Amino acid sequence: MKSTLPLSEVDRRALLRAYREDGDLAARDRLVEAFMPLVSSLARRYAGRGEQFDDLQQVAALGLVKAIERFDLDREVDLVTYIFPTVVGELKRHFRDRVWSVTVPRRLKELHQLLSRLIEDLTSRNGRSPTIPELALAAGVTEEEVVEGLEAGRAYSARSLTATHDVEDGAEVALIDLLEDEETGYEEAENRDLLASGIHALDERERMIVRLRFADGLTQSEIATQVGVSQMHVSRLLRRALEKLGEEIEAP
Amino acid sequence: MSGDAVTITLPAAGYEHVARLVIGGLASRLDFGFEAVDDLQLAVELVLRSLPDRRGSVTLSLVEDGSSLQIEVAPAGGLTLDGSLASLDVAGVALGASLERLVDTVSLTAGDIPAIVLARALPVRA
Repeated sequence: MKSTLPLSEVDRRALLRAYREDGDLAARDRLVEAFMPLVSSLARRYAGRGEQFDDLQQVAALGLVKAIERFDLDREVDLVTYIFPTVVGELKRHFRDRVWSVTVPRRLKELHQLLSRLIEDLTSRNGRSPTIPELALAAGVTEEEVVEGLEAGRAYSARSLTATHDVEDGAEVALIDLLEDEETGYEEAENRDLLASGIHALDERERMIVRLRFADGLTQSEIATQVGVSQMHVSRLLRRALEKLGEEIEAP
Repeated sequence: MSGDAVTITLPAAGYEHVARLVIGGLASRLDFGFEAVDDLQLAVELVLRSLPDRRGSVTLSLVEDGSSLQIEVAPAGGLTLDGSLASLDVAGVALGASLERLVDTVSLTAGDIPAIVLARALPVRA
């Protein structure tokens, strides 16, 4: 097969060494740029499975940066042989972790919605959080199904950065616009910082809920009352804040 | 129901929802309310995502000792309660303090296999 790989193996190794040993960021950027077409083609293979290409490209790019950060220079193998599995691994992990919601059966989604309503009703009726057996009784399902149903709705729903997002006042804006508003000096940010802070930044509401729960110590139901959303939604937002850690890039 | 114990070993990364199902299953048998179950699940997820080394597997041991549910996560080598998670930085609270919002006690144990133990008192039955 004719090689279409960017740069020669010697160049790849020299650039990687310049970045890793001398902190030459320009060298790292050259590697990233050189491998982006390859990374995009890998991302394209996974497109059309309920995920937008742009998102997959970002996931794949993250894999590339991880490969560059982690490749062991003492090993005799070529960087390319490390990039491939790292990027593919990142894409597969993305599907496993993030796109679960796409395949959650309709039955569970409906059960989740029913449970969300029942939690609100039973909490206000009893003045305390309902137990799982109480929810099972009210929903007419088994306790195991309640546990499963509660999980179902918490599955992360993947979103494109250009998809519109419902903000507090009901107006719809693209997520990418929100990120740009929050991140000044965004363009100058290094690729890694951009990935770490841009994609994973919490939105205003998530940030407020995290603060209320962990800094102020309010309970989920207290937050739900104060913010005017359901308990289940508070739970979901807290969990999403944690999930954003998953994609965090480790410092070199 | 004293003595209930469940142990599960799973990959440290990517299996948070499996951990949640197991915790949810046991905690619901112990009559914890929805909110407490969710807090316990969130606490363990917080621990899993904070482990410095997430490449291997971890063992979750859930034990009911008659007065509380204890959840041990091991190995937890290198985990410190002073650090904070990037996405939770907005709250300005360290890991240990964040966990204490979710469970009653948090402790690190040394020994051959360092572990973190979370405990939450059982609900008072009517």
